[in-house]
This record gives sequence, C-alpha cells and structure tokens, in this order.
Amino acid sequence: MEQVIHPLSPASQQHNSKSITFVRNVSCTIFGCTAGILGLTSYQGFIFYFLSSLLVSTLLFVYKMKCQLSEYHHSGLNFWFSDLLGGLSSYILTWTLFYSLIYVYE
Amino acid sequence: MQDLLLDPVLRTWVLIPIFVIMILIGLLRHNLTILLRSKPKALDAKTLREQRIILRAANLRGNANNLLPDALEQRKAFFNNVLRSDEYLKDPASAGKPVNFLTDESALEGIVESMKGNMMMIVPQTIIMTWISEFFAGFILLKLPFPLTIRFKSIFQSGVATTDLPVQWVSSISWYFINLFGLKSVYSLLLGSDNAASEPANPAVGQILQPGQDPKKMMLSELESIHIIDHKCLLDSVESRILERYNA
Repeated sequence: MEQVIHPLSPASQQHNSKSITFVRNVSCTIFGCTAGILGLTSYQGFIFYFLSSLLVSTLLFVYKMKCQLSEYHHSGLNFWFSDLLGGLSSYILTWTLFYSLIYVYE
Repeated sequence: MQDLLLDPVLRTWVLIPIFVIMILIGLLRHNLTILLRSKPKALDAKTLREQRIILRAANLRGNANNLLPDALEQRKAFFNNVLRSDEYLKDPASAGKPVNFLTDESALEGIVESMKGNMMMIVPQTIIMTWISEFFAGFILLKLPFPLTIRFKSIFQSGVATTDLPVQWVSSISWYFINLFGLKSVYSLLLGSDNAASEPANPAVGQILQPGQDPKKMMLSELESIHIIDHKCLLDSVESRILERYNA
C-alpha cells in the first residue's frame, strides 16, 4: 500500500543509478592511478580501494543527497555496499599500469 | 627494491600498444554491433494483439490498487470472457502444440540475434589472444602490485619457464587479461552507459513471448492471477490520510 501511495518512478531510479555508477567508475579508475603512483602493494592497495570507494559514497551522500538517502535511492545497504566489487577490475587495471610504469621501468 | 630490470623499450612497444589496441577493438566492436543490428521486425496485427492482451492483463494485475472496486470487477469480467475464448489467439488451430523452433520465424530471429552478439564478443577475444601469444611471448612484461598463488604461475608467466621467479612478475598474456576485465568502465566512460562493448546486448525486440511457450496457456495463467488479486483500493482511507497531512 505504501508503494501505491508514494510510488517510485522507475525513470528517476534508473537515472540516479546511472549517475552513481558513472561517478564510481571514474573515481575507481583515478584512485587506481593514485595507488599506482603511491607505490602501494598488496593488502595496502586493496584497503585503499575500499576506503576510497567508501569515501566517494560518503561524499555523494553528504553533498548530493544532502543526507536523505531514501529520497534518492531505494535501499540504504544497497547504496553503500553493493557496488564495491564492480570497480575493482578497473582499479586493478590502472593500479597495475601506473605501478609498472613508475616503479618497474626506469 | 626490484629484482628484475625491464627494458623501457618493452613499455613503449608492448604495454602501451596492447592497452591502446584493446580500447580501439572495443570501440570497433561497439560500432560493428550497432551497424550489424537488424531492424526491428514489424509484427502483423494478430500476433501483436495476442502479445498485447497478455501484457494488458499483467498491467491490470500490477495497477489494480488504483481502480475503484466496480471498475476492477468490470475489467475482470472482460478478461474472463476474452481469455477463455479463442478471440485473441493468432492461430486457434495450433492452440495446444508447442512452438517449433525451426519453423517459427520470430523465434529464429531471436536466436540469430543472440548468436550475433556472442560472436561479436568471442571472435575479437580469440583473435587478440592468439596475436598476443604469437607476437608478445617469451618475456616478462610487468609486475603485479599484489601477490597471487603459485597456481597462476603457469597461466601468467606463460613464456618464461623459471621456478623461482615470484608470481608477481607476469608476461603479456596476463596484461591482456587485466585489460579485458578492466576496460569495461573505460568503455562506459567513452561510449555512454549502454554500450555494446562491455556487455553483449541481447535484443529480443518484438519477442515478448518466449519461443516454446503456448499463448493459450499464458492467457489462462494470467486469468488465474487476475482472479486472485488482493484488492486494496487506494481510495479506501483517503479522507483520513488527507486530514493527517493537512492537519498541521
């Protein structure tokens, strides 16, 4: 009944998740470059990845959603924790690339 | 502190070119998929009607709470008549038989489309993997920042057969794999989010009915679901809700 009184618009939901995915993609790539430049290895690199994606989510939450998660996304836990492994592959790509470029080659 | 010194020539002529070429192949794949996509077929009126009545019944089920009770009863009676009779069926003679894959053209179209999508993914991957293992074999290309287990040694150090080189030093085939998985986000940045390079699109245009399902059975199952709709009309307690909202 709640759903009918306050209906969710699928178009808005789609647009929101597209924007969130875009921001996460870009930030994962760039944080991968940062990790490579800093020379982080193994577990430090992965911790940096999780911290940076939580940081990006927090910034989205505070500045874009103005701390009102329910207005902009359907489920809180989904927003914070569901997309963590999605950007991992791009992070590893840029991390490996920059680490090798800077520390392995002359 | 590094144990191997790698020639900068490797960086200029292997690392960057493989990266650039994989991006370009992805762009090519995206554009080719769009060019090779066949036009959506126009269905004839009878087939459309058959598909749309099932959709309409599903929509009624979904939005029933927005209707008044007697409006809902009217619609239920209409669907009862229509879905039990053969009025909307495209071909009443073949009501009981399952759809044959090879003779029905619309099913064939869907299969061809999905096969095209798969080919578009598989063929470039195979070609590039062969190319890389032919041309760029036999040397160590980069060092992974993270360690892996010993079992990956045979895959990732394919050309170099040493026993005590750590698994972190890998050959070019592993750079190919890293690129394969990591370029999805680069494609979505360059091409917009619904691009055909990152995941193979499966257009089932005009294919609301899965091949092999009997329209008559679907109609009857929709009718059953309509009959068991639990109707909670939106307007039931609307006056108390309005008073609550505007009371302050």
